[in-house]
Amino acid sequence: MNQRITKILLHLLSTVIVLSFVTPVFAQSAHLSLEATEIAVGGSTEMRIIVENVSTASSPEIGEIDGLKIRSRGVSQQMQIINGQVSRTTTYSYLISGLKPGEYRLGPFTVKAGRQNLTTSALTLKVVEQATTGPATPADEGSVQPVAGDPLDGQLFLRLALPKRQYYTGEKVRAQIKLYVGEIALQSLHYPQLNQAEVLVEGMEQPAKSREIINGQSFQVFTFSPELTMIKTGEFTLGPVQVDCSILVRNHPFPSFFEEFFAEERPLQVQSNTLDLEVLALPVTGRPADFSGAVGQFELEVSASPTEVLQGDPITLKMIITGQGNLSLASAPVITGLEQFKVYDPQKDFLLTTDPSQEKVVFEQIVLPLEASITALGPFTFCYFDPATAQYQRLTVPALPITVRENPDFQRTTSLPIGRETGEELGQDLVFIKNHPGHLRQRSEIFYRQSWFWLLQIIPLLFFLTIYTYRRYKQKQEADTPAARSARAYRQANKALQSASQRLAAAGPSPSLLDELNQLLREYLGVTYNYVAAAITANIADELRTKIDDQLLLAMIKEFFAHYDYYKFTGATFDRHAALKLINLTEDIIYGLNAEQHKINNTGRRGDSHGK
Amino acid sequence: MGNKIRQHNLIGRGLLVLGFLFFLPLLGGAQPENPSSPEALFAQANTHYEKGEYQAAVALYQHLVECGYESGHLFYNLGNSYFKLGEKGQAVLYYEKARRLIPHDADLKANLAYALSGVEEGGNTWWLAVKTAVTHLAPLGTWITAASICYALFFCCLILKMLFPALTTNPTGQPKTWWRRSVVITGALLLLTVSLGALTFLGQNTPQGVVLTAGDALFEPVVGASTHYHLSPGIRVRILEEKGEWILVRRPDGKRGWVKKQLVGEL
Repeated sequence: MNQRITKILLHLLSTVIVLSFVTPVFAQSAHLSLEATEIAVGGSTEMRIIVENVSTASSPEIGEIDGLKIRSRGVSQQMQIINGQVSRTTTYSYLISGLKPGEYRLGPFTVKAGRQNLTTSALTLKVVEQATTGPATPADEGSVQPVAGDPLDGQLFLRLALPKRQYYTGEKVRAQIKLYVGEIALQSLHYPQLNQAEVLVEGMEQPAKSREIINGQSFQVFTFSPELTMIKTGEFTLGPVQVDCSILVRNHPFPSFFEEFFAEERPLQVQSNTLDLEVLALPVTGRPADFSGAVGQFELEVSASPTEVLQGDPITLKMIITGQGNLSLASAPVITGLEQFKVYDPQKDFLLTTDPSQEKVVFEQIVLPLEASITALGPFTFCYFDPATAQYQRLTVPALPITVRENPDFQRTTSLPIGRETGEELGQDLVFIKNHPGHLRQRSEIFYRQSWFWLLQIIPLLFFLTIYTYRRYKQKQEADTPAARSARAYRQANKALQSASQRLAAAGPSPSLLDELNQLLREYLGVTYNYVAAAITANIADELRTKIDDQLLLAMIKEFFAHYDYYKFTGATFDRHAALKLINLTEDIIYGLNAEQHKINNTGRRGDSHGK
Repeated sequence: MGNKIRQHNLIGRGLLVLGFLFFLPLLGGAQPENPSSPEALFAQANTHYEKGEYQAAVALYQHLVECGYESGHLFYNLGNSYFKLGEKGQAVLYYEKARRLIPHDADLKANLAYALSGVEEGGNTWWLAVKTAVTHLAPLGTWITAASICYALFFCCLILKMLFPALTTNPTGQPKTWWRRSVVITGALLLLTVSLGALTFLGQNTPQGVVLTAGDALFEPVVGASTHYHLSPGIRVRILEEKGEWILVRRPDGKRGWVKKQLVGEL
């Protein structure tokens, strides 16, 4: 039993491991969703077209629907990387307001993604009379938007507030998003969501908690204070802000002590009022050339350390800008009178402040005085746009007194006035990016990182060595040395023996076969031991005693010639048995002599014995 | 007659199949591009760059780099994105990486020069200039390919002589002039390409880096040690030694100093 459970667990584990390595395949698709399928006349809901895993998609064409007002709320994109695979979601948001009661069919909508058309499903939106149900009309600043339906009516609402209605591009403002909670039990609360292309939302932190009394009723208030930066010019409607939360609903007769056990948790989405805003572009007329890009109200503080230096020694300048506004795009203050200094690029760093409404940026810059005659550093100017006065302002810090002493070891290098370093005055800029990825490949895929490439390099060398060795072998074979002669003779003798055996098998023994074998052996002995073949007789065995150690071999040679003489001259019958015996004897002799030759060649013994 | 018609039909069908096989790759090419393919991600990053969303562009380009992809254009675009974000050190680092792959790209040369304008590297010796020029003559892959071709040709000449002696040798037994010249030229080219390839390889494998953020090079690898010289972003340095979280770097003018590792991005 235990083994079975272990087996099942192992199977499960292996399945999980395998699944975790599987790379998911993300398909392209488009969906349509409605925040609420029923709204009151004058109320609104959000419609989203969610396109998944499409790199570039054109905005869907929504068109106009009689009885509804549809406004685009922008596009948001989200990218997720899971197990190395990237999935991408593009969401087109639309605010749909009901003008007339009725049922409206929304969709299907088509999104063009590259060469493909993705189509969403269709949904029905019901617009009912104001009196029945649905969220209230988007209210103006300061009003509240109750959530429809008992028992929540008027007990949970959200308010969005901004200090003014007109802003400038780049201006930063702190918004107030207040969630009012009355006589209900709030179970969970999520951060407010404001996805709007016209503003950049930052600093959505933990809410401040307080209590407020409205129309005699006490409310617990959660206040979120995010910073909004206006990034697009023009008129637009900010909001509604949405907050997801859940409340406990009592649907039992038990006393409140048991409420948490038996109450039902109901998820809700609360929407705030909307605000109509206007964002103006920064005025072009009167814009100073040294405008830093900062928008707000600021102060400039400059310090230098050390103020007493040797010629060529570094002085660190600290230029601190503090104030309310947007400093993220601000460039460093302009320093004049730096002709006699060598200047390094300033380094920008954001500092934390105790007051969250304040921003603080420090620019650190190193300058090297090149002349001993320098007595001051600066002055420093910082130009910004003040939205309160709608004018460009300039902060000036007078020159700082410094003492530069002459340095005898100082070697003057080329002075680089500050203006030259920026590059802009040289009429230069970056060349645009490349549209094509070029030879985009994995590092490991590069040919010279592959083992096959280096193995391929061996082929010419191997080919060369093979041909070289073969040629050497052939040359050796064709040379007129005793060894070469012996090898050739051996090959010829073998061929002749083979032919003799075949003829014996086919036609039977004949006198010519006897002569042929005699001729064959004599020729072999003649070539190998440098004798005249025709002059070789049975006495050859005695003569070869000085050249061949193997006595058995000599006896076999003697026996061959004895047999030859016997059949040739006595008239004895040279039958099949005798022929086969003689062929085998010849074969043994030639094989033995060849082995003897090899032995001599390898050991070098009797090396001169062939050259008679 | 019937056979002839059948034969015609067969030929027609055969042509149809051949035509289908010919156009099959084209049909495959008409499929929508995989959105998670490296090319699609590169295109998405470019779109972010064009919209001025440099941070998003950097994230996508970096994702490709982290996945092991490389190309001169990828590093070039990454360098541009970093430059737009004001990170000059990172920009120079990626331009230098791109330079190893596309050393003769005019846009890259212009942008690298622009990024380095105002960066004081403390002087440059003629020897260093020559070395840099030699090691950036061509990408390493080009030298390896060229050397491989010369090597194969060299052996082809030798093999030709062994296989066809009549073709390569005069009746006097002397090698023919064309063969002798071929051997000398391919041998010399082989030597040259191998030498340049080795120089490029050594140049690329010598630890080098680019200063990412401004900081001081100290005399000792200790916090609070005396400053030897100041390093501003974009300065290219040679990494000589490593000690814990410190590295010893050498500026192009030869001055050495200890800096924290995170100050320098390795090439």
